[in-house]
This record gives sequence, structure tokens and C-alpha cells, in this order.
Amino acid sequence: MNPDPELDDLKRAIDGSISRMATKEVIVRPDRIRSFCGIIGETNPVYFDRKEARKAGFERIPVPASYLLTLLTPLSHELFTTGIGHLFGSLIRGIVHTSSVIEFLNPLYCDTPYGLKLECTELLRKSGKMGEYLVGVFPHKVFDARSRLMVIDSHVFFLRTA
Amino acid sequence: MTRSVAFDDIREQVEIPPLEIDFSSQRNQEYCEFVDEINPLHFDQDYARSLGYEDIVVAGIFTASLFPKVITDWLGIRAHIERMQVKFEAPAYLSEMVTYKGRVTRKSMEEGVKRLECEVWSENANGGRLALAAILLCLQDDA
Repeated sequence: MNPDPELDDLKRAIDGSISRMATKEVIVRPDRIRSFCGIIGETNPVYFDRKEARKAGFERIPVPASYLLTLLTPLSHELFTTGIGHLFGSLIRGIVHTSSVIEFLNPLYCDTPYGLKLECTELLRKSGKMGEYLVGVFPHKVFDARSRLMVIDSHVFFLRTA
Repeated sequence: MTRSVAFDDIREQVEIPPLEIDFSSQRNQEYCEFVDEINPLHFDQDYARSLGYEDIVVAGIFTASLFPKVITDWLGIRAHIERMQVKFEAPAYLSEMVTYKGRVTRKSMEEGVKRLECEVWSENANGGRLALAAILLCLQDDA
């Protein structure tokens, strides 16, 4: 394998940033879900009305599956700003989200504490029609208060090199 | 709008009712503000063009958020999505009208658990495919 100092530098920077990122504690409030539903045009009352949620068999207002990607956004935002933001312009030119695999292991509810944690499991160099880029796999995980894994969302990002 | 479709009435290859979404400038701005968007690709036209895109690219997480809605609009809240694999194939640009379409690719019942595998994709107004999602879901017992 040819030496790739640029890739090695980025890998070190990402690993270092992620290791410094504490598990992010979140509680999804119903008004946040209401706002999100307004943006995507979701009108199912189960997501707004506690009574409707109970009638549908939920103990509390459920977090819609649609919201999961958005819930996890702060993790990658933190990585790409305070984490490795200083590399933009020198090592990285842009970031493109190319795919995701989301496993919904357990339902999430409003007004319930969850922990969000980011990992980077893979970073490779590739080239294609958009030029030279690095491909990173970033699992975003949601845990409940008992450390039970609720959701895994593995984002693949293309990091365009400068 | 949630429709009432019984599991027994669902056949493999049946089409899922389409969902149309206008990723208008206002909707995109609302979403960017909602998530405190940091990637200028999603709000800065000059930056997007400097990377070779035609216009502002609507965030993948935003466009992918509509895939579960296609399912729950059809089957209601009794549909529990277990796994969703999304592949972004082309950018969804600002102000594009995007249509989400889909079909059931597999229907099964094992140990009393009713499951559907669906293929859902998004298209722009020219019929160009933007993203493809493979969705595995189970339906509650009363479905």
C-alpha cells in the first residue's frame, strides 16, 4: 500500500476529535417534533397529541422515524466544525453525504433522555467523476438511560480534498 | 393522510402511493435553521457552484426524512420501520419538486410477524432518480 500522509493526517484528526467528543445528552421535546413535522408536512396527530399517542398504543409521544436523521445531525456538525473544522481549506474542500443505513432497534419517545455517540469506522481514499475524495463511514448511535442501543445510523460521507 | 390497508390485501410489486414535496427556498431555509445547518452546500449558492453543483443542494438528511413518511402515510403508525438503507444518487436542488415513489418488493410472515420490504425512491420533475431507499418494516398484529 502506498503511503498516504494526507489520509493518515485526516484519520488522526478525526479519531482525536471523536475521542474528545462526549456523549451528547438529548431530550426531544414535543414542540421540537411539532416544528419538524410542520417542515416536512407530517400531520399525524400521534406526533402532536398525547391522547392520540396513547390511543395508538404509545406510552408517550413517539419520535417519528423521519426525525432520526435530524436528531443525529449535531454529532456530525460538531465533528465538522469544532472537531476538524480547522482542516477546511487546507485538507478538506467539501463534504457530501452519500448514503446511510439506519437500524431502528427500539422506538424513541419525547421527554425521554437519550445519549448520542459518534464513531468513525472506516476512512479510505477514492476517486471518481467528482474528482479525488476520501470516504468515511460514521456510525451515529442512540442509547437510552440504561445504555441500551436504540438506533444506529451509519452515514457515509465523501470528503472532497483541497 | 393515512390510509387503511390490510396486510392481507398487500401484494408484492404493489405500488405505494406517491408523495410530492416542494423543496422550496422557504422550506429549505426553515430546515437549515431548525438544524443550525453548518454545511454551506445547503444554503450558499456560490459555494455550491464552486464545488461543481448547479445550485444549492438540499441536505441528504432532509430529503431522506421523507422516506419513512411515504410508508407511514400509506400504512399509518402501525408500520414500524426496522431498517432503512438510503443511497443518494444525484443532488436534489433548491426549489425542485421531488416525488417519492415506491413498491413492495417482498411480503412475509414468520412466527406471526408481518413484514414488508419496500423499495422507495425520489425523482425530480424530469424523472431523474435522486435517491433510493430499501426499507424493511413490520406491521402490528392488528394490521
